[in-house]
Amino acid sequence: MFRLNFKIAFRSLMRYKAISIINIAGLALGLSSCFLLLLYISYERGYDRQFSDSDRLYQVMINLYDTDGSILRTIDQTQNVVAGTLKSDFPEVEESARLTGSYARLLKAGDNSLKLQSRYADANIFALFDYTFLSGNPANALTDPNSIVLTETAAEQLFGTKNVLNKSVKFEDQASLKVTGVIKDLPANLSYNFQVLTPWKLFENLNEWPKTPAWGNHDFNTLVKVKSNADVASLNNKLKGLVKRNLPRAKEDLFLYPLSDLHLHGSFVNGQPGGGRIQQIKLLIGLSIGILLIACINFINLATANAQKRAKEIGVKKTIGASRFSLMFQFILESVILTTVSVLVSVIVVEFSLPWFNSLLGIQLSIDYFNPLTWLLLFGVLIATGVLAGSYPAAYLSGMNAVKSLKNDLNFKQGFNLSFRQLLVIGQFVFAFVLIMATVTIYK
Amino acid sequence: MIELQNIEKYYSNKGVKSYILRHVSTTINEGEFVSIMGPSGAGKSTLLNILGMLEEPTYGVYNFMGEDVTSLNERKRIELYRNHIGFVFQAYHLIDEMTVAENIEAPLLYKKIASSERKSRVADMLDRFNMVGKKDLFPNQLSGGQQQLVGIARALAAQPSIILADEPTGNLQSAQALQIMELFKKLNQEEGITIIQVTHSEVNAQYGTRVLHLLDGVIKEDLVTEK
Repeated sequence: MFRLNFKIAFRSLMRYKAISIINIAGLALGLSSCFLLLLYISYERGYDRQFSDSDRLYQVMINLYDTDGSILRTIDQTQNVVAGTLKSDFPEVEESARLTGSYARLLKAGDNSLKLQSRYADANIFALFDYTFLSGNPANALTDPNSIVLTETAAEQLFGTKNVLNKSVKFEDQASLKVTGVIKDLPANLSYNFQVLTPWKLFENLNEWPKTPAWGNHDFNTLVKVKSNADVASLNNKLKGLVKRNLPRAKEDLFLYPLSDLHLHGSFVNGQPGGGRIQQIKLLIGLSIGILLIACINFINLATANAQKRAKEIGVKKTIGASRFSLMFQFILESVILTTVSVLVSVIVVEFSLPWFNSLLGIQLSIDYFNPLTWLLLFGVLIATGVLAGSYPAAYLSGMNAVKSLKNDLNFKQGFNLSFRQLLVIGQFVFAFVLIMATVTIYK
Repeated sequence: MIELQNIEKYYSNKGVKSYILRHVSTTINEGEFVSIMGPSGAGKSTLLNILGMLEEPTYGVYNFMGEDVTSLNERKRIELYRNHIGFVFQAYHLIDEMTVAENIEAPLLYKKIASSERKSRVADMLDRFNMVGKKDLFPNQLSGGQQQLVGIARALAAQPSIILADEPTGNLQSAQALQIMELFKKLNQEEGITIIQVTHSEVNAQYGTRVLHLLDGVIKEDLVTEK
């Protein structure tokens, strides 16, 4: 039965080639846009979640108070003493490390010199972020003040090879550093990205000002890894007043904020998280569902418009003993087959449009074929679309009166069906109109 | 086998009833070969559709094999189609996307008959109708007469107790029509299959055992044909 249905579905696709192609093209276009958006959404949602202890990583934030005690602003730049104080005075904190901002530094290896994005970092940074080391030991990679850790691309740009352990690099014409580690290239969706890491001690050796412990100088990012059973809310309570105790004139409080929330929920209103890029993501989720719905509606309309051609087949099958369920199953199967082809087409379309999409947005999206989640998502969208697009035509077609469909006497211009289709078309137009208006507005 | 009591069929339009069938009462026994005749618009096809449960009468009682089927739910009706009733249509109504063999096999699939049994029944049918060589052709590659043979083979494959045929030879040339009617007669006489056909042709009606003449929805004559 299943095999025959499959064969028939395939034959009828081949028979009504024009309709099939229009159907597949329309659905594939909708699916492609949907997949691109989903890729982008999962890219954004994946920010800072790549580490094995991502759920225990926190960023130290500071609420700055106005003279009347209200919160003026929330910033992420902390003093150079925060990391040490947190680790020594608060048992909830397992590790804490400082990072500077990322700057283009001049590096020279032999005759080859170029500028690479670098950060100074505390030696225990690798206890927080478990980057994949291709060579070198994370435990002591940044303990020596004259050491340097490179990403593999940085290593190749400097030396032309990845095997560069213990080779020497001239840093800003100020220090000669020894390569102590090469790590795998970082994913693009990291808040703390870099090509080169240099030790905090080098920072202090080359500069006077960071050496002095100071509670009044906001300049660095402090990252914290809490113990697995730590109660961060109560820790945040304990942090209240810490700065003031050390610097009486200070009007600010520290608090820990989950690093994985920083990218999407990075805006603060009155010291409380108040949106951020998540709003854009929500919009995009709505958009991807909307686009897919439009494609489905299109599919439904084409399928029901094609009903007259299928009427005879349905009538005959009913008289030879087909149940309504088996007819519905057949139509949903056809729709799933069509959707499968569309999904394949759309994956190809996405692959071809990704470079363009990436350069447009300045990001790095790619389909991760080895991630089971990708397949789950692809399969989920396939089944959802196939069933969604197929079930109305299936219910509609299988419910046709056998006698009338055999006599070719079906009145297609009457009753609920057409008005339902009109409703779908209206919905489709409204959504398309909203999209076009939005595009025009944004473009202006 | 079939018992009709006072079957009426009418459509109401603005309070005016237009009758298709009026006071139709008759009994058809197992093994009969009945031809329903009458001019166009007499209600022949409607009567056949009611017999085939494709349409419901507005009024009256219809007993099929001792069961009141006047308003049967879909599941039970499908059971009857699967096990007892075979349809043959004027326009053949083969499924265009299926080959000859698949068309014959289709009712068996819906009947959930095991694969080996299906294969042998289909092979039987192909053999019987001399269509082994055509089993992989599609309906549009066959002549009208051949298509109708496939239509009959499909109806027979499920081993029905009754065949309902709506002008089975209406689209055929006379030589092919003759062949089909001979086949019906043989099925009726040798296998005892009850056959009810709607026909315009006196010649075709003579193959049967009984003729019902309809006029304006009323049975005018109920004749047993001469042997």
